[in-house]
Amino acid sequence: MCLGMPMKIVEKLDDAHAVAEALGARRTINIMATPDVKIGEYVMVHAGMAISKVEEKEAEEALEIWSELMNIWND
Amino acid sequence: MERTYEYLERLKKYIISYDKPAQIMEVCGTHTFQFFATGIRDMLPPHIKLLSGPGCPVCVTPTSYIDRVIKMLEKYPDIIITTFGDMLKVPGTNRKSLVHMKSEGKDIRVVYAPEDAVKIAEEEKRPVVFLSVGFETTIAPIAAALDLAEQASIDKFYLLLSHKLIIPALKALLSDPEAEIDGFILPGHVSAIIGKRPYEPVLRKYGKPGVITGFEGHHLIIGTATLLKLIKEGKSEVINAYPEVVRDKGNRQALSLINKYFIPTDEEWRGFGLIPQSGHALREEYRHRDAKRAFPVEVPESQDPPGCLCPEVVKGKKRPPECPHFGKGCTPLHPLGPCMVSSEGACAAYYKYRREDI
Repeated sequence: MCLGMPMKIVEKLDDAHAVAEALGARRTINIMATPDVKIGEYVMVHAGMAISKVEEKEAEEALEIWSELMNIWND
Repeated sequence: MERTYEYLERLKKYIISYDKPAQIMEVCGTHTFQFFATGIRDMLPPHIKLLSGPGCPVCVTPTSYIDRVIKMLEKYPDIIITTFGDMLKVPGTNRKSLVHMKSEGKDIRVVYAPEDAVKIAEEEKRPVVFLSVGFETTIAPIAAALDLAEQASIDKFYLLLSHKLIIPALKALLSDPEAEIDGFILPGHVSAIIGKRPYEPVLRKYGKPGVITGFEGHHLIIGTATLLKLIKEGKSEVINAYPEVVRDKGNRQALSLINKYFIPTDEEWRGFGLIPQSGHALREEYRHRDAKRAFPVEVPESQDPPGCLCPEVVKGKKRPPECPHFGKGCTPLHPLGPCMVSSEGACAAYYKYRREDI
């Protein structure tokens, strides 16, 4: 229903827009839903908008959930 | 890396050796495609059934919506229709689609992002109507486009709304006494917007588990194995197995953008009929953007394609090959119903990967 493409932020244009890159292709995307995104970070892009930052594993919440998952499998 | 590999192998073995019958619904059409494309569907034991759900926006948009667009183009010849490409081939009453209207010279333009439609409205002197069809993931960029149109006072930009909200759809699916669903593979990118929490009360009420799942092969293995384990243990929990993209609270900025412009309203779905509070209307102060109000037309009662099983397919009650038209009178080149049109439609997925079933 909602195909997404992970893209890397390469330039911030204004409060609402940034240039993002994936597989060598660049396009302007909307970043109103991820306003604090920084150059070099990855976002999930759907219909021209970054709908979420793609967090690396250090994100605390992500780790908690992964450990929750691991607990399920360690039963 | 090795640990991840071992972990996935363990989950794969769990799936392959799962010994109880289970009916799993993958709500999202992209999941339907990915289960085929990754080969994971073929890996499942025969007593585990995957049911495709309503998460294909084009598939659940009613025929009357297409009929309205066609009537609008006939009555107001100077409007420009902007749309995602999937909508072009969806048949309205008597199989007339936007492709036919385009071949008659109507100005219909495919855009990748809703914001592209705002740019067209800025450049052209004619009114631009965006076919505002989609679930929460798509509603967020639509709200952002509307925000830009408001900020830049681009007046001739209108929306023809047919938004779809996932939680009321799950309620409608589960309140059906004939529903035979043991658990849900929940849509990863809708969940990036709404988060994990809105699912919990509804799934708890009906005693079903759900796993928020990403779209790569490893995501599907983790999501499926975890869901099967929850089903076996009789747990009605919601687990977020896509934490790198989905936060439990969802995306606050996206949700507030959506709430700024839209309010929930009853909405018509193909296959389900009217589902309470399952769609959107523009808030009163933005009603001037409502294409239905700005370009009123009379739409005669719409007729769904006769014999098309799409209304049953989107509820997971029929599999595409059970339809008498599948692969015969209905193919992606000449679709009879929307489930064969969309790149996320279950019939299109079966046609692409399971033609030997015909």
